[in-house]
Amino acid sequence: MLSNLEDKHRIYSIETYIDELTGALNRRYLNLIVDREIQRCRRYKKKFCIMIADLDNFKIINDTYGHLTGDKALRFFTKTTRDFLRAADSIIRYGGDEFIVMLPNTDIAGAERVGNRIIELLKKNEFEGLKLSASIGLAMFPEHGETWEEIFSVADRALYNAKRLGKGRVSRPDSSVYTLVLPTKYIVGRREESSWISSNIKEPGILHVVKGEVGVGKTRLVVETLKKLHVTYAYAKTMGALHNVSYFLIRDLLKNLLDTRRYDVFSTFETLKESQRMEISKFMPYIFKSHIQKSAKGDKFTLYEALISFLKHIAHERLLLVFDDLQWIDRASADFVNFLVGSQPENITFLGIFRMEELSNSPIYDVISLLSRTRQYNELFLEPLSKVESTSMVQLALGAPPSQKLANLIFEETGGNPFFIEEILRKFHDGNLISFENGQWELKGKYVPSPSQSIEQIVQRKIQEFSNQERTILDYASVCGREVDAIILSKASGYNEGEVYDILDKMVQRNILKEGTSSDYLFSEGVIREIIENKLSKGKMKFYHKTIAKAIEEIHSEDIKDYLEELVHHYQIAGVPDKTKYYAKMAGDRAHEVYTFERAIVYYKIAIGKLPPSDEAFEIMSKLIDSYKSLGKHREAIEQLKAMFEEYPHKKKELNDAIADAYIRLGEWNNAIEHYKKAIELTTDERERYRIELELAWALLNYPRHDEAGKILEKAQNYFETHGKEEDNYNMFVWIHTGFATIANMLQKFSEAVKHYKLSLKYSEKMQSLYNMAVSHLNLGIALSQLEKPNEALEHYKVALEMSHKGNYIYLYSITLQNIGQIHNQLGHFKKALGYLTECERNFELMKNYFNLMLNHLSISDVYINLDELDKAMHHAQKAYELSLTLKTPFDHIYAKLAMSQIQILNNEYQKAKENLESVKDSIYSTPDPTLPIRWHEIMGDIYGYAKS
Amino acid sequence: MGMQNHNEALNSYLKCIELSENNTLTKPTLSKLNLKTAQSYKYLNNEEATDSYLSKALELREMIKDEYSRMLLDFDVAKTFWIIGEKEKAQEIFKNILPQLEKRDARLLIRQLEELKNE
Repeated sequence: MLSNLEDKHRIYSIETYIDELTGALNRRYLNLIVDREIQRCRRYKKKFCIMIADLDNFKIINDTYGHLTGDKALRFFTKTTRDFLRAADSIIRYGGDEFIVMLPNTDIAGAERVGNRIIELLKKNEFEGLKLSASIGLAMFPEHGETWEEIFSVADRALYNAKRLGKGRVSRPDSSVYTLVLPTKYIVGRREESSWISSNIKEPGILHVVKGEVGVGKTRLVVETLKKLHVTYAYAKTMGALHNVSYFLIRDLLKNLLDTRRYDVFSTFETLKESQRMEISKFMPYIFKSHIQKSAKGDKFTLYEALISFLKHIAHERLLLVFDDLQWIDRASADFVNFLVGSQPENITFLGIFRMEELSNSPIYDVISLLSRTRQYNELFLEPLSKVESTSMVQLALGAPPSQKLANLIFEETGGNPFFIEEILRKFHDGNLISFENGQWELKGKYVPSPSQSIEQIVQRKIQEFSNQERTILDYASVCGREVDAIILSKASGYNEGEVYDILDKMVQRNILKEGTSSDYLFSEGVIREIIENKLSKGKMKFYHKTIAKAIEEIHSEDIKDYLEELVHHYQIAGVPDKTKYYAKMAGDRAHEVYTFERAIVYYKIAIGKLPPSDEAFEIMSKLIDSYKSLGKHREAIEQLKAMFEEYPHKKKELNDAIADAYIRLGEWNNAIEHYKKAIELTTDERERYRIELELAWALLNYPRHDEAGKILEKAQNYFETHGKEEDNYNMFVWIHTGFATIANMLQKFSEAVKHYKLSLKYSEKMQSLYNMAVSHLNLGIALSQLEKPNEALEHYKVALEMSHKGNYIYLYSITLQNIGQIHNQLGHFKKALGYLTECERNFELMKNYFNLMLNHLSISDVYINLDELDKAMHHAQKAYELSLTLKTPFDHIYAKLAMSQIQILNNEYQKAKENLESVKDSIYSTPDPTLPIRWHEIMGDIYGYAKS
Repeated sequence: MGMQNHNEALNSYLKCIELSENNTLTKPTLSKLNLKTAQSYKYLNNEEATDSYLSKALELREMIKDEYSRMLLDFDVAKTFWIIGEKEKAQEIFKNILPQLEKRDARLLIRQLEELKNE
């Protein structure tokens, strides 16, 4: 049979279909031939039999004599069976100690003879002093089923019967052993969907998603398809109750990687750069303790870059990431997933799963919209089963076909949703409402359907069947939050661990829970947890949350940092304000650490609550304000700060300083100057006063009052040269010389600017501050390019690029790329320029930094003008123009219009060029850029000078 | 289209030069502006002003250190010589810069030369 397959599947070698351990054929082979064999037999009206054989007591052999002996036993069984079979027969290792024997042109009596002979041979031939035994179940096509699933199911039941009757025997199909088997051993139908998954998961750079209604079998389809394809993947899942925990999905992913590839995680970690290790260790603080230190210059992109590097390393050749229940994804994880997919790592592919019902309010909606725009999103809508498939599923579960009437009833009641089909079958089976007659299942008497059985009603009904103790455990489990942890449940409920495990196992059998990746349990559907939790009374809910929180505190005292958000959640619902505030402050710090400032604000606000003014409250307020600033919400920060004057009169200096800083970031120099001056007045410490004066100088520089700024800088330089240890003042000198250089730049004294940037670089080197060094090199490059020394500028840019790469400063890195691109454009290296600017474009797009993206489009447009590719030049100029309108910045659209005019002149479109210029005429003198009117007039001159009469 | 107007063009270029007095423009940019001004004066038959702006442009050209920038400017220098009727000088410069240009730049140059010949 194998040789026939080679023609059609030439890409596979024979080894692909051989089980390495036993030399039998493998499951891949089975998948390949079953449909063809069934079609062949149907066409020629032939029959065939299958045997499912299972070694008896194999686990005992393994446990007693070791796995090596176990492996030998499997080989011995394979050889014994194969030696006896005909050439046309085949033996396939189905998995573990389960084998399938295919017997073409054989009836059930013949198959029974073969089975008995194999059992005899095993009894007769000792293996390493042991006597092997096997149980065998039989089924025949077409008598016992028309599809592979049906035939397999019948043989599997017969095998079950053989085991039940005492093992070491062959069992024919027998209706008396038909019992309900759920979940079904196979997924019914779904061939197209399965092949959609298998063909798409190889394609990187795209988020492939399987979506569908609750209970339709999304996760099972994905997991079983991947299992069938032998694809290794990393799995992460969100939790409905924890959708506010920042990076929950990513933490779950890292946890899964740690559980399944511990060695890889550690070795990959060692290959990362120090700055990357620092970021990764924030997610696994108990694994990589030594790397936690205060990061001077991180941002969320530094974190993203570190995570992507980590995943790319650990993926080796290829890794599929499966993200389940994306409807509950937290905002931070959603942003990261968008960035990760957008960055198109070559060796990572993505498969998401989500429930459609809750999509509209979820951050995943934004991810889908953004990725769809760049065609990086692809989805499969998983429909409920068709009527034929629904009937097949019933047959698979019951081991024999249902009558037409029963099949129709089940389909009408369930709409083909597998979850409902399982539930109705349980109801029929447990209530003894069906019977096996004349080779099929039939309804006993008349069935009165219950009106609109919703999932909620089904779950409620199930719960009623549990004992009080079981219900209590289930209630606790529903408020637990993440995976249902038996130890926490035991501690919270007071029942011993054994009892809790027994109950959880029962819940698994009842399809309320399923087993998780490690020793945890998960709700089989998130909606089940919600239903149970929602029916709790307010008082009970408070009590449960409190006891769960206490149990977490006790059990996880060593790694409490991993549970902060949950503790806030539990104590908040439980109504324990002190504990809520205590953990909220820590959760705020943790959110701040991973740059999820929105969450930090939420937690800090909880932590402050109605705290009276105190040092502790002031500290939390300062962190809250810092989070606002990090988010660019400077107005909110100023509002908060101003409101604090009354409560903290002794902190006026700090408050003014902070308000001024917020104004600086808003570009409101005048307001900043006013508040710095107030802060200086209130400062008694001389050194601190000079520090604030330097801040003031910076504001003055921008205002622009560079004379005043220059005087302050000189005074500060004198002070710091004569006060304090030199090494304590390096930072101040970096600042002072950058200030002097900025003044020189403003006065167009570029040589002087270069001199000061060099000094600034010198002190940055003394400080060993990689970030400051990179900035100084970049500034030097810019000043040198103003001095028309492009090659020297390029040297500094290259160093800045290397340093910002080393330190993971993505923004700085991208700005440097942009400058390098511009220099290459000036030097006539247009292709190189395009290379740098295109990389830069992608970075800014991923960072959603639309301002720099706009400037970058103008640079690219300029390169295309030089390349005489005017259509492309216009395309980028227009993009810049559109972005400037979106950004609503006051002047940037002028640059875009000038670029468009220039291109139109080259295209001989003088009228259009003139219209574009005229449209910005009134604004050109109101910008801070003095060269803008010059450019405007030059282009206007060109229009009049070049145009043909 | 009736757009060509050397008076208007000249006014614009002069405005540029006026505005650049308070701001240091790069030498190639300033030199190019002077060349354009010289060209406009030529079209308006003011020989004296033409010579003066051309000299200023050439003076600035000498100060440019970067060879590539100078070569790019030379195209405008040659173009100006062509317009003022010193076609031999123009051709000499074109010959000098042509071998230094990449294929693509040369194509651009030839296209513009064609345009000049047509004028």
